Amino acid sequence: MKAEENPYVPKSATVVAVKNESLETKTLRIRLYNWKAEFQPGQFVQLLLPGVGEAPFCIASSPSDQKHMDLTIIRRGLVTIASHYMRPGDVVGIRGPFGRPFPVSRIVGKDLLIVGTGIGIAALRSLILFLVEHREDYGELNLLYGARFPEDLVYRDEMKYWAEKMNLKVTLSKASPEWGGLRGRVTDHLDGVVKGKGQVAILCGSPLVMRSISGELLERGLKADQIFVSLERHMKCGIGKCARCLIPGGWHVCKDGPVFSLDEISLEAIGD
Amino acid sequence: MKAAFYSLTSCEGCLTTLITNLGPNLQALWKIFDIDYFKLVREPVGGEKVPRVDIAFVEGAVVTSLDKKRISQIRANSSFVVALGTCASCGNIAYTASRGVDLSKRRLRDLEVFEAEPLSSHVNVDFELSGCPVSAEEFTEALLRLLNGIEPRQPDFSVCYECKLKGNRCLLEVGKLCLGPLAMGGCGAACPSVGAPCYSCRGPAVEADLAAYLKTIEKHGIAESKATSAIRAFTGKKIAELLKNGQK
Amino acid sequence: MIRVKVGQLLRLPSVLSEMGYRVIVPTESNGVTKFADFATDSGIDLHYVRAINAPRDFLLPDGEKLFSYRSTATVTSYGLKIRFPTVEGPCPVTINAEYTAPSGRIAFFAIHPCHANSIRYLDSVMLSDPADPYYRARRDGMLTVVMECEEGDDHCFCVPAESWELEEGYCDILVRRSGDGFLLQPRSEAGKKAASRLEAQEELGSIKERPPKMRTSFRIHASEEDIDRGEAKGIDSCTLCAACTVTCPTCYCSDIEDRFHLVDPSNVERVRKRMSCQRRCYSMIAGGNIFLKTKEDRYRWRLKHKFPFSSKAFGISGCVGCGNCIAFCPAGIDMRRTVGRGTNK
Repeated sequence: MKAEENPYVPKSATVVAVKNESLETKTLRIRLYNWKAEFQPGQFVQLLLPGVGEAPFCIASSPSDQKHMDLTIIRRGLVTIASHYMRPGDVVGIRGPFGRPFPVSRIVGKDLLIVGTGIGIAALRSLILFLVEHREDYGELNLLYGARFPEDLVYRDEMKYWAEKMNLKVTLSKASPEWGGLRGRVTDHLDGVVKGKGQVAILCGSPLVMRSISGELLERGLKADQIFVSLERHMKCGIGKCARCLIPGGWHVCKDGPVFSLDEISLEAIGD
Repeated sequence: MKAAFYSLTSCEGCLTTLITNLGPNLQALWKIFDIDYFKLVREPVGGEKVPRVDIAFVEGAVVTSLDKKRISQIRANSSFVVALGTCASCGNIAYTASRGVDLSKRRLRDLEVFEAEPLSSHVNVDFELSGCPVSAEEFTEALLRLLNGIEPRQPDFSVCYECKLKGNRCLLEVGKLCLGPLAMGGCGAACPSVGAPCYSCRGPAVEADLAAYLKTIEKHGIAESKATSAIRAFTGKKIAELLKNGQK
Repeated sequence: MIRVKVGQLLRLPSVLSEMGYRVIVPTESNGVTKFADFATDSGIDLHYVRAINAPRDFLLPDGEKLFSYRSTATVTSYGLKIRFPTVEGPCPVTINAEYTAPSGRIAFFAIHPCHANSIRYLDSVMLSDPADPYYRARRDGMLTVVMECEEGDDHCFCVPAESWELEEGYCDILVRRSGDGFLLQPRSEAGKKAASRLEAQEELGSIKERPPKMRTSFRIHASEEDIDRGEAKGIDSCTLCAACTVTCPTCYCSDIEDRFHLVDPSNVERVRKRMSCQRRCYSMIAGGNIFLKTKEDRYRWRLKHKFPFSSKAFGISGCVGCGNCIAFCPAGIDMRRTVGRGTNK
């Protein structure tokens, strides 16, 4: 087997731009050389920083641009902290894309409710950009984005363009007095955006918040197979060989996910 | 980047191990860092004065009045303090040996002597690298991570994990008092691999469970009293806390 | 079918080794049986009941190098900058991974039917799409000499676990003890070729594997609900030593990390190391959140991975009933109490 066919060997790419999103978050724009990535919203890649290690990140850019990938990264662990030192021109390795994407073609024409909390919004940006590009194919779009502090908000400059195409609500749970927008948790602002049966909900964020929203949405009449969650685990291989991303139900998050509908997994599988 | 290596009351075994076991890495170390203070290697640049550094590696336990003074000076002048070896992280043998002894009359030259304490009893320690002596590989790994601005990591497994990976027979099964299940791993199960029981020289494991260990050895017919005295030998303050909690 | 004397059977490893195989044999040292590479002086243990390691350690070796690459870093400066030099112009493809597939054929001598079935389980995990190239290269051309068990010890339960039967492709030569000699039944072309090199007596008929005598009999009920509800007796004395997962012949969880050295940090090795679900970092995600917090969680997780998860994801049970996790547990925790139901235990 040649190195190119080996799923463990990364392909080379370079960082072409770095954007500071918030105090703890940066977006790396990565250009792929000599290869294209055909990905769908919701899929992830393994980012290798030479000499540091590898970590999985959801692609945060529109699938229509196959030569670039945006990865929004929050400072948390080994690779993420090192990635904040990257500058344009630096070389990285990319494996992937991996995983099952959001079912964008199956939900054509439906009303959508997208809920992202914290850095979870990064995994949803690809979908949001896709929806903005294909706005006429979908029904009513509601995006609910929750964070803790105003400094934690990411994609601030893009939000106003998103807001032209969809109903955008941003809420802060620990807002400063100057904050003019909504306050409280995302679960406090479901009134008005939840339409009940027939609506499709897509969630990504901290496990506890996803669980409480899922429970709430089920109570309000959404069907389990119409609620999609994107899960986070520390996948090591990305091809279902290392068993690090198993979740209750026997699913591999890397192969069978990271997007699951709630009729496939139990609420406990989301984690806590 | 500046670094310094200090030695408090100890056998200086940890720093000696680094010098002898780092091999070619020692030169690399010297290239990467400005090492202002490493008495074992050369005369300190600024004499006995504690220099301002990015990373300070400190071996030894705090025993004398000079140690107390030095450690607070080191803390004040260093951005990142690494406790090097079990003396610095747990107190090691000195911790248990100095308990219940009348030290008020004892003098080390003109210095007062107190009950031995790990660094963490006196100052805030950023990272603890256990081992008696410390392992050169682990030291290198921690250093490379620090260079990358990443927090180093401690092994999250006990000695048993590596012991079983090597395919050794369990010493508890043959009735020997082995502290492997309690002890922090990373040593490659050096002692049990040659049939000598583990004495937990690296301090307790991250998830050490004393109650579970005592239940386990009871099944193998080993007395609890025998175990608790053995546990105290090396693991110093950390296990003393566990033992105290266990008695409650 | 042929009949051989013990001396001839013990000659089989060197025959295989002459045929170009890397031969793995059970050896006895310090009271434990361990599989190891065959050497002319290795004392082969034909009477073992259980071994502390398994074929897995040779098909998926711990610390296996996946590939190496050169990051363009040089140690000239301090801090992170040394790692990520700026590159002008088009991507110079600096992650130039050097990868050599493992080569050579492997032969396992005198493994038990449970070991053969553990290879079958690893196959279903590692060769499912996309196949693991390292495992495939090691496994291709594998030869197994399976030694039948007559009777298990207190911990064995391959009959309840239904793993005493040998599927096609997992046994090239079946060996049965018979009188003061052994009966050898070659079951494949490679097996026939190897057996033909031994001095033997032809016998009529053929042998097929038969279930060993069990000291316990029970039925395994291991759905997720069963495992959640089942009692976890003795779990309070678990010290998280991970002996259960290390000695299990089907545990394959792994961790992938970069290894580099202070002297030449630009030469980076990507290695695959073994991982255990009993360890803290197994379920840790960025930020330090752990999904499996208590030892009871981890105990049940191990069983779930063995039974329901494996059945769902790979269509095969991950437990071959070898009993290693029970025999090697210092705390004596018995998973049969959680998943076993019914008759005498």
